[in-house]
Amino acid sequence: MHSASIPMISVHGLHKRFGANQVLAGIDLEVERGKSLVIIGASGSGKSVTLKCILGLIKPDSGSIRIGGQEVTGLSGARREAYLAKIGMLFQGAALFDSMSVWENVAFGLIQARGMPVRQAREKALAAMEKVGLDASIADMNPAELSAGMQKRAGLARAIAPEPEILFFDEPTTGLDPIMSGVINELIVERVRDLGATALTITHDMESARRIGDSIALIYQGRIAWCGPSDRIDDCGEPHVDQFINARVEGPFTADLLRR
Amino acid sequence: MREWNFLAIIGRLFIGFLASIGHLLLFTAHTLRHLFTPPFFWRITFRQMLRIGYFSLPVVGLTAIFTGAVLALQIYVGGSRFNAESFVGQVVVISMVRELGPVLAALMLAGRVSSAIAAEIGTMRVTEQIDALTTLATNPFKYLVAPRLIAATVTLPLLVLIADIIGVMGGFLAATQRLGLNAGVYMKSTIDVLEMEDVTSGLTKAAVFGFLIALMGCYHGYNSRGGAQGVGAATTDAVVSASVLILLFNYILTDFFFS
Ligand SMILES: Nc1ncnc2c1ncn2[C@@H]1O[C@H](COP(=O)(O)OP(=O)(O)OP(=O)(O)O)[C@@H](O)[C@H]1O
Ligand SMILES: [Mg+2]
Repeated sequence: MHSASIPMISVHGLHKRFGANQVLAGIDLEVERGKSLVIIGASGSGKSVTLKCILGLIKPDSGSIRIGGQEVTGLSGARREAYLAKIGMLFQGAALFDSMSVWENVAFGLIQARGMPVRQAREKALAAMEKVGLDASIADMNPAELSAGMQKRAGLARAIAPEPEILFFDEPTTGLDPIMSGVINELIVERVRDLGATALTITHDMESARRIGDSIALIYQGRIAWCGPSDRIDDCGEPHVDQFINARVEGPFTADLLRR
Repeated sequence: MREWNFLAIIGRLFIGFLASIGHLLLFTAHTLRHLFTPPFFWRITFRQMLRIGYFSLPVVGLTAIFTGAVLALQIYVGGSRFNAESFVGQVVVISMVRELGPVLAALMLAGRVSSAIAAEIGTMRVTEQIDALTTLATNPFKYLVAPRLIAATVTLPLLVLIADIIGVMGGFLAATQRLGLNAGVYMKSTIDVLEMEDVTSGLTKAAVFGFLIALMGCYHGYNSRGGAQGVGAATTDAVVSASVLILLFNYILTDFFFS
């Protein structure tokens, strides 16, 4: 089979339950190589859990996850590290290492996983920081001294610095001003269009979703309720999507809530 | 029905206890595997040795000097009841080197080091820093757990050696200054009675205790969940379980060296 025909990320029948809380009930997703998928959905609908399952940080109850055609559920040791080295991840809470300075955070993947010399890694880290609008003057600060939006951007710089093939962003523009959101959107688009990376982004920001997504998927009740090209989302005819993107108070989301 | 409920509760507690032992053993096995396979993070290990060893010197030194001094006074009081005052030096050095040096230093470090490790790793867990580490293709067992375990296992014997010397000095000071015993005689009896096995058994204990201290800190920190409260609980659990295990293994090791 030609490698271009194998989706970069493919998830089938992903289930995950926490106690009595069935969070994922059969997620199916596919992202082609060099494409960008945006996941939207209500708060608490399992978007972050889906990403963490793909990264192997949460063990799914059942389902298959393939990265570049290779089944990755249950991988461990060196083979797990090899597939993780292809992926860059921005966590919802940035998750910067507070025992290190900002630039050491950004350079971490370059130094530890790639074995790059420290001086060269610092230069690359500063370049990545510049891309997300962080000044070199904060490079030696501790992450705790940064504002929430700056931490988010430092987390973003850490994810992109090793130039991974696959990028996961959990709410990259949350907490940023509109101008900075625009910069980050452009950055993600550039990574995907120009560098050929594959991206999976979670966001609540519909403008951002339209800008960076080749396609958009809505998670609802543990499944993908709708998935399609981002330019078709306005006339998709799916009532949940319709309520979500137009931020209406009344609609199927609220009706389901009341029925429960 | 009440009896059954009672039995059910006991049963559940017992099963829970077995489950947590199993969990801990798995964690330990996992840790040991990563302890002996590359990559090794020597720089971090060295930094941990400084943190665990060097910065614990004052507290361990103070503990040792007072313990040695008190020991000398008490043995003198006890010894005088059957005219054995002259054994003060011998008893001080043997109890210090074989028993009190390792155990007291380890208990002080359980409070100081286990808690710090649990709080640090626990905070990294609940703020997703451990997840971030994993996604940067760095194994947290190698990067976080192994350096702390190696550092504590190597450092504690060194600390205990220093504690032994300071403790004997404390006993010497109390004996010569307070009890008016002859300094030369005291020193000679101390050195004459000491055997190599006293020192090696004490230092072996210290290495085991160091391992337990770091293991409990890492285990409870690594498995903590639920925000600041969870980290607080992990810290307490680390100190309590490290202390209990130190006393338990102290008996097991003493029994082993005894036979
Ligand atoms: N480690 C965990 N243990 C127990 N429950 C969890 C855990 N992680 C997530 N959950 C539950 O899974 C559900 C989905 O969580 P998730 O973080 O994926 O939401 P989300 O879609 O990312 O929401 P948001 O947009 O607010 O970030 C929530 O109900 C949450 O309580
Ligand atoms: Mg989330």
